[in-house]
Amino acid sequence: MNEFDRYIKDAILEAQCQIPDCVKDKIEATLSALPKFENKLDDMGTEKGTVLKFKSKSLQKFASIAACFLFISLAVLPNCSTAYAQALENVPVIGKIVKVVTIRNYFYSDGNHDMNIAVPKIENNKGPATAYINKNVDELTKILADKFNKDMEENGKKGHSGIFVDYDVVTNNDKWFTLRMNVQESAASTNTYYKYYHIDKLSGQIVTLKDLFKTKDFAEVLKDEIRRQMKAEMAKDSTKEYWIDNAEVGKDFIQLDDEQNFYWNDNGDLVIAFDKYEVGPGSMGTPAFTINKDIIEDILKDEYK
Amino acid sequence: MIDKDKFCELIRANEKAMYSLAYSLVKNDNDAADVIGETILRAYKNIGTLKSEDAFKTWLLKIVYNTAVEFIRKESKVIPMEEVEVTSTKTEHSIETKLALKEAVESLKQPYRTVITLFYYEDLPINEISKITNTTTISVKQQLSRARKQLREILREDFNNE
Repeated sequence: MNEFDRYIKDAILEAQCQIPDCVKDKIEATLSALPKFENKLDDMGTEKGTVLKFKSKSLQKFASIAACFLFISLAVLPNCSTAYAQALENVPVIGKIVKVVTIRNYFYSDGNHDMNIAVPKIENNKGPATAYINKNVDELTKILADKFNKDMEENGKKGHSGIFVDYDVVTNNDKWFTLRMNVQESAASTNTYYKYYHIDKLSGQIVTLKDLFKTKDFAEVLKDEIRRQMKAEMAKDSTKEYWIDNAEVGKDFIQLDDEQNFYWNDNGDLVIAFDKYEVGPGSMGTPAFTINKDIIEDILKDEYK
Repeated sequence: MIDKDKFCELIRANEKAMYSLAYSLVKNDNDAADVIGETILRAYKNIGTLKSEDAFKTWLLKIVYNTAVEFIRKESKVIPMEEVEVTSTKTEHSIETKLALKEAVESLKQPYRTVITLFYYEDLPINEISKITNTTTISVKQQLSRARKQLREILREDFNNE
């Protein structure tokens, strides 16, 4: 070290560069907001792989700007049926422990455009239902990532966009399994989407809403109940608005098809879930309606009662 | 395997280095804070790519460097690298007032400011600096030589009085 170098080093030691509070605060805030690396069995006996769940301010900000929610779920059948309990004597087609791991992450961030997509995969099972869902999730996440990249290429540095995909296993018991995947996407406008996929472990089949019922009129039964709840909510709270009997928006927006999202809640009740903007303005968020067992008991298939 | 606690420990151990480098590039505490925040997120996200804990500091500072450069380009608030000029007013004023070392370093052009910061403040060897700044060791040596010359000129009065 020459004389000048020594002089500089001495000066540096003397100066002892202090880190300003704003930088210290930023470091601590960022560290405290970091997600944990999860690699453990959750309460449902489902193993999640190394999953990063960012709750950082930047991602929350991005999430607040964002627009599209996608939930992919495998739902849970409640333990509410004698017939079903007896059926448990049988060996389940799908194993009790179903593992869901993150196999891939799409990540990008430049301040204007952000992408964080976790791609889950159901493991432990090689049945057609899990294969279908894995393929579907893989394709779906790839489409979302490709769309994000394409939009970014086209828009360059103009504007902001973002997509955030995450997932949760909602339920995983002997009979039914629920995986929920959340995706938020933002662009010029905001949209919210969610979707549930269901597998009946005993049959090994993916189940859609119609598969739960014995009769074809189930949709009308459900719609009547949902309309009733919507009207009751609007009567009770003037800030609530659903698009039913509404001259401005025209037709009845409650459409229950094979793609309709639903899940079983902790009480074993069926819940019908809608996307943002599907049955009301964005301010209504993603409405969900719980259908009392009594209302659908007669039309539910025995194994789902 | 570096877990979250270990990661936080390593970040805190290197916070001064991160700040010095980020500040040398963006020349603003608030912007440096933003760069560091983003760096931590990126580092955490990509911690799996780090082959050895021994390489953490260099690896982290490389992320700081890349993040800061992206920040500068995006904000367009700082002139492209290599084109930053020393403002004569500040230099003259600084010399007159026997400016502190930090101010002298701040008044350097890029990439000299960053190279000086990494070499003197962080004690990093030439090859590590070259990795962080995406350049060759020869370039770093040249930059360091020129930076020393400029710094010596700025600090001439102080240095000669030592």
